[in-house]
Amino acid sequence: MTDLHLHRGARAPHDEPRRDQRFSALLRDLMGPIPMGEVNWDALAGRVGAAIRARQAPWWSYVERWQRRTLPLALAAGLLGATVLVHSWLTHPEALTSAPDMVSAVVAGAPAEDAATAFSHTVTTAAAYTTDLLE
Amino acid sequence: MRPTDSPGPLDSSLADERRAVIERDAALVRRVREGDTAAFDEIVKAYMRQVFQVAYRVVGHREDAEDLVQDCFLAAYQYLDSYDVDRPFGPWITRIVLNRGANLRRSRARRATEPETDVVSSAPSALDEATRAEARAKLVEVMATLNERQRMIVTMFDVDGMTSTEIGERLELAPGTVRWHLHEARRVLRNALARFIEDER
Repeated sequence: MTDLHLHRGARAPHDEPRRDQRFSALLRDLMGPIPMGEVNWDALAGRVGAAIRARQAPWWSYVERWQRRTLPLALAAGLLGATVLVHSWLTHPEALTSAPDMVSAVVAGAPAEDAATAFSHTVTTAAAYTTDLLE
Repeated sequence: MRPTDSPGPLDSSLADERRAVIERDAALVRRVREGDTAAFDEIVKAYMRQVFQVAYRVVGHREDAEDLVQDCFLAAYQYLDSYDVDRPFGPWITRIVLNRGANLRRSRARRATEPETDVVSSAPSALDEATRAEARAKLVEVMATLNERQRMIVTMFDVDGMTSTEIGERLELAPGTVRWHLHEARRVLRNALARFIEDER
């Protein structure tokens, strides 16, 4: 602040503004006091807490959130699997029917080693067909 | 910034107090973010009076103000991830109150122009009832021409008796900015209410 300002009686910029009693009285009269005593603070806090807990997401909301994406994916995977199975069965029915046959053969007294070899051959063949199909 | 170059003992103790509050709030907010809802109850209890004061001054009606308090704490909870824990919580939630309160007041304009009768009539006044009704209508009309910040500042200073520093802390504004807004708001209000101010004598 300069001497000139001081001389003129100007107020420093950081001075607290003067209170104007008449102006304040009128505003208070028109606006009224804040009714702090009329508020049930415990009830208000309880209300806020209850509203927040009610809004918290339940665990199944995550399922709901993801179901739009996962459902089509699951359907597509199911369709693909079914196509592979049907295709395998149509082209090489032995790939699907040989497993029960192996079990029957073992139960009937066939050597277990032969059955295991035949079964592994069947599985490998089925896997190869699936890979071919996907490619 | 305060006008003095070095902080006095009072400034220093206020700064310590403020820092302690920020640290307490930061710890509570971290707990809430980790899923501890009870920590938010503590935040609500610490700030609900302050939030209600602002809410009441924005909407001018106790029940609306309580609804607004609830709405603002819900919003604060929802957007808590965006809150910077290194800053005070009070001004952050006060901004939420001012923004949401302005919307609420607009949507309930009719009710907000009519302050609670029991509160107003209990205040001693030099104005007769007809003149007060006229003055109140004028006040509402002029207040609507001020922006939310000016309206809040002039109310906090001239009605609630807060200092510009206190208002600055509450609204996270520099005291100089508070004083400028106060000056502008007072100028507009004094011009509009000059006749009634004379009548108050």
